[in-house]
Amino acid sequence: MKTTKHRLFFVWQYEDEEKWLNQMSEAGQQLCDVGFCTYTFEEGEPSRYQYRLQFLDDLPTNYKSREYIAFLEDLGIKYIGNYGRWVYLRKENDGNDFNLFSDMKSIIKHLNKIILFCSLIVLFLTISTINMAVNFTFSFNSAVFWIGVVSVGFMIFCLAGIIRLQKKKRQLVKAAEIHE
Amino acid sequence: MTTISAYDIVSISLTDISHDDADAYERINMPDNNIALTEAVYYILLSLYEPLHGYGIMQKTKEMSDERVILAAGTLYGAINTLLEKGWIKAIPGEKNSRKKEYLITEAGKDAVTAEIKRLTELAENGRKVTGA
Repeated sequence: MKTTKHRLFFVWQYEDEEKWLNQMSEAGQQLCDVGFCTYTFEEGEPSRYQYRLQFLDDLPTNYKSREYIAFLEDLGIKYIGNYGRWVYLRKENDGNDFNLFSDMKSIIKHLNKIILFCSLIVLFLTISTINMAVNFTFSFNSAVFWIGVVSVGFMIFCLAGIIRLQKKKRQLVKAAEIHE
Repeated sequence: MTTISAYDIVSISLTDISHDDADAYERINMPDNNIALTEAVYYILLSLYEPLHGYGIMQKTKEMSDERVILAAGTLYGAINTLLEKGWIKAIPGEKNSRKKEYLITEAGKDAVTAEIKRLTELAENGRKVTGA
């Protein structure tokens, strides 16, 4: 029996998203399809699958991504859907932790890609905010004013997300000075 | 003020990321026998003295290291591609023409392993000398 849930996770909240999907799995709801803020679950044995997200270099339709997904398939990791370059992966629970990376360098590289993507979003928002500021009218009746307020607010929100990711990366880089 | 912070964050992010490439550039120009191999790369090379596919490499490494080194999919894929680029392993068509690609170590790869064993022996011997183990 399938159920659909709607939930919003921002780019930098991917670990919270993973945690939520694994919690749903423990409760017997196994994720089987994804869409924009849409998650489709089906009833199943609790904790049957473990879930991970990965941010690919290209869209899953690109041949390099397809090669990678085929490689994962050979290792028992199934691709169940994507949202842009984010792919949703699951593996049958065999009692061990399910990680996509086992060394610091790979984790840091992955994190860098996400940070770069978020930074580009912020850059784009900055440019559009400056564009709007040129026609600035401090008037609560002006639509442009409110759009400006919302985009600045969203920009600050994204910056907070980037700062969170940067903090995590700094921890990993420090750890990488000693361990692999 | 928000615009200034955005620029800072973006430029810091970009320099952070480009620093990674800078390190790689330095390393490429160093002689190969002065670079320590990562555990993942070392065990992948050791596993490929016989032709093996991805899953096989993971199992062999797990077995050789007594379950201590478990290569994760993303790490394994990246390392295999890097090793292919370096010419230390080569891809061979799998049996039964299945989609599964198999890999095999090359002569250059074997040289790298020999150099690495020499380096590891030096580390272990010095460790034993100093600690008296």
